[in-house]
Amino acid sequence: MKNILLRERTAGDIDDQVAKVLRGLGNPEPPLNLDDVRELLRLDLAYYSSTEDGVLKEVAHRLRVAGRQVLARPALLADAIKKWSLRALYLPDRKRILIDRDLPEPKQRWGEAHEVGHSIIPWHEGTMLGDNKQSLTPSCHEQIENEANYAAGQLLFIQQTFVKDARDLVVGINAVTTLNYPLEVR
Amino acid sequence: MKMNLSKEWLTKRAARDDRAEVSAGFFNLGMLGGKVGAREETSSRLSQEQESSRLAFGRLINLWRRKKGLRMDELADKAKIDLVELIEIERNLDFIPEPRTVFQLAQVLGLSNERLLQLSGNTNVRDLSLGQEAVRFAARSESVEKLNKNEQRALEEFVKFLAER
Repeated sequence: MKNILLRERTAGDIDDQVAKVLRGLGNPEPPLNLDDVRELLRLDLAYYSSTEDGVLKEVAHRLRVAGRQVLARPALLADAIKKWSLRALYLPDRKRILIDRDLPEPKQRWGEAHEVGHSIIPWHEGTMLGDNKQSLTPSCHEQIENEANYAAGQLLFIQQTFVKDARDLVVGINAVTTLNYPLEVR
Repeated sequence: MKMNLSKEWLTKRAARDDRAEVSAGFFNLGMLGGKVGAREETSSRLSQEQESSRLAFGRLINLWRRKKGLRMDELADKAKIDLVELIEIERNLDFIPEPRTVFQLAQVLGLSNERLLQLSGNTNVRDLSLGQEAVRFAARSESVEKLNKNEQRALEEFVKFLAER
């Protein structure tokens, strides 16, 4: 995926949303606890396995996408996850984040933060399409994924906290081990 | 510095790191029948439907703004979008506005964001009725009014400038 430079206004709006979440958590110390973030935003988390068909189909079975039960053809969602190698998903109508449990843990943390990003960016709601009447163009899809990545970075690095901490430390291995909190698994 | 890591450990870690991208937003189950690699396509050419829709989108914003008696900078301020984006939306058919910009305009116009996303060329059109309606709107909204004095003078000056070159 190409990195797209976000417009100032776009990044500014995302910064504001992330700041609101951090304020809601009482401006926490690092590392950010994503369980607290989900609780604040009333987001649900579930795991699936891209390598075990049974688990994936079970998850797909219980899903409704955009209010429509996928039950009729639950395998479709499972196929979609496999074909596009999706490692994490966000279902806006259920406020549910799905993570592939086969991902290494630090990547699960990144994936979860990325999906939280989708949930807090107001203009993403209309882009999480739940029907087959329209699909995002590749460039639009790329744009929203980059925006969610930016939000994930802002969350896990606790906005300016990381920069301030980095400036306070002498460059060296000690700084690297101290500053590992964005991807620290609790 | 000696790295005290076994080959087995490194191999295991490498196998776990599959470089998979984290992604979301592809809930279009209808696309399963289509090309899987479609998301990698970066065609800069708009389809005919997209062109018609995009034309109608620019015209819609332009007419709505004029109906409300707003200058471009006033609408840009109201919608909290960059002025340069608004100019591109109204005048450049190849310009596809960002999802945020469309969302902001949808809020100001009081229209459905999803419809405007489609009209602005951010989604592939499957709703043919919207595409047809967009073409009809684009054709009907083409002004047949005579030019006012300002427009006439601007046109004459520009033609004169072009002729001199």
